[in-house]
Amino acid sequence: MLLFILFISILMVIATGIPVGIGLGVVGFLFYLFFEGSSAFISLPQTIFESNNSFLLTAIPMFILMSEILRKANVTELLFETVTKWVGHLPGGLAVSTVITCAIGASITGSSVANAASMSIVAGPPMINRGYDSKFTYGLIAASGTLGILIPPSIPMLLFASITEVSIGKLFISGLIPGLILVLMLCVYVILKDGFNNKRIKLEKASFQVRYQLTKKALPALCLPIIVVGGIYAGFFTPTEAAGIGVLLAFLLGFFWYRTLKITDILDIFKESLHSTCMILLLIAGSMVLGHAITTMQISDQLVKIISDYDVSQFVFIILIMLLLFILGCILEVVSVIYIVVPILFPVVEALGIEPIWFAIIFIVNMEIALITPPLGMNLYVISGIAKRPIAEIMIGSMPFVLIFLFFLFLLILFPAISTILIS
Amino acid sequence: MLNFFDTQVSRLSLFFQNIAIIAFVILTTSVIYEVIARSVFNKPTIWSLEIVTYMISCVAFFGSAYVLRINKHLEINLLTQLFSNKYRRLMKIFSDTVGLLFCLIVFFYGCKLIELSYILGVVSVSELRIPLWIPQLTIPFGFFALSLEFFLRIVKTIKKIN
Repeated sequence: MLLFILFISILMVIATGIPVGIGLGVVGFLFYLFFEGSSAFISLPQTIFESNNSFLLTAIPMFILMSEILRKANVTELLFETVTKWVGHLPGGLAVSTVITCAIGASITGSSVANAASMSIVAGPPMINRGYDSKFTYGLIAASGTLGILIPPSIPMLLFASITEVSIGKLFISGLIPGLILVLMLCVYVILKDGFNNKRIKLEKASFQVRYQLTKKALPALCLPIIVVGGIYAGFFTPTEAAGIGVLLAFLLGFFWYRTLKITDILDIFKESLHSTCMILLLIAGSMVLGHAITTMQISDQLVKIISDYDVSQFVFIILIMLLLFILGCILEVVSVIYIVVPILFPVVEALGIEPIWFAIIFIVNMEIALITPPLGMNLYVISGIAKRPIAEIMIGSMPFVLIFLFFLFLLILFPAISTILIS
Repeated sequence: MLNFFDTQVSRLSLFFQNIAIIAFVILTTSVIYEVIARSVFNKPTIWSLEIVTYMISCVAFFGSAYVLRINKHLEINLLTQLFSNKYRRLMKIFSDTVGLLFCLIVFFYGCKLIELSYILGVVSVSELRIPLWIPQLTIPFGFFALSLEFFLRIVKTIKKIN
């Protein structure tokens, strides 16, 4: 009951259009005030101060910075060009190359929104010029862009790990196989749907010479994620250090290898990254206030008790949670869903003996769906803003992909080994 | 009058943003310095980890006011978009007032927290033993600037209604 009131108040406050971070803080503060009295006042600034006082969270601005540097250095263009030279002439051509570039892009950014944004600039116009309709094009980019949070590095995974103390190295690595399977499914879909459409203007098959030249040029950018994620997995770096190395390498690549960065770009890069960082950190601060209240109210304990009283099985529990996440994902955005749901549910997950890494992966895949489901799918909005197309068009375009993602989610639930194979 | 106030607040937010950018640069360099010092020269520093966690507070709270000014904080306007202009503005005044009150409370009790940390002489639990009130200063400063920005938003919306 309490949980229900909490959810309703969160949704009502956020619906007023208040900045979400502040809104979550307000709800948390009021609940705390109601249950604990005036001690809420002095603990408020303390919780907010401690919210961002974590070494693991420092990885977030670092990863944002890394992907911003690479974006400014036009690495996405280069990757798209390279991939297109390899697969562009095959059935499905540019669409397949968009999916693959999104997957590679996902390995240099931790955010799906950033991934979809840069891809809609890079891959959108070429696809439309070649005769793809804009519904399909932008729906595809919105959907493939969500790979950003499944393929490591991933900011939502970092947040998940910082709340639950699940190993971030293991979590990152576990995203790889599901990520690759999803890429495969998306490719198969676009080939079946569009591969044998004769109206497309075919691309010439590139010579081996051209492919070799471009691949050689792109190779350092392709190695960067291997160093960053591999370093974390091997235990050589902490995620924050790995992200730091990523930033250093990205700068070196931009200035000395590609020479596409100018010294004057640095200020812009830091400014842009600061804005995205502040947005996420304020969300985290507000969510922590809410989390503090949730812990004090012992909602999780009540939930564990209800579930053991009714003898709910693991499978039913997971299905219910996925349904809840799907609904929340439609109306909220990813960071807030993580901070609202994980602190409440994770103790239950542990109590039921569910594998935490598997739970994290299906959680993240559900959040990918959240990014492209209306009314609030962040990827839809970002692409609509960049491509100057009506939001409804992109929503309709991404609908088939929602079905694919749901099918994929179901696969992951039925076969947990897909998510855990690399860590067992 | 409003224009003058607006310019001053915008200057303050911009100034705070610049502090946040400097903190961001320091954060980045200390992370990179630490990882090189540790893995290449095998000489880990004792200060890096702590500096980094203070800098991130600085980034978060000094940067936020300017981000609010340029409307880059996440706001969900699905429901309010359905309202007529008048109701939408009234709703905006309401939500900004809630935001303003929240930020003022954080500002006010943030000052108290600092007073308390100062009187009790609370220091960090690391080797640096930095008095905690210094990094905690980011809270009242940041939320003061946020309050000003919220206040301005309210005044601007009221002006639009008249």
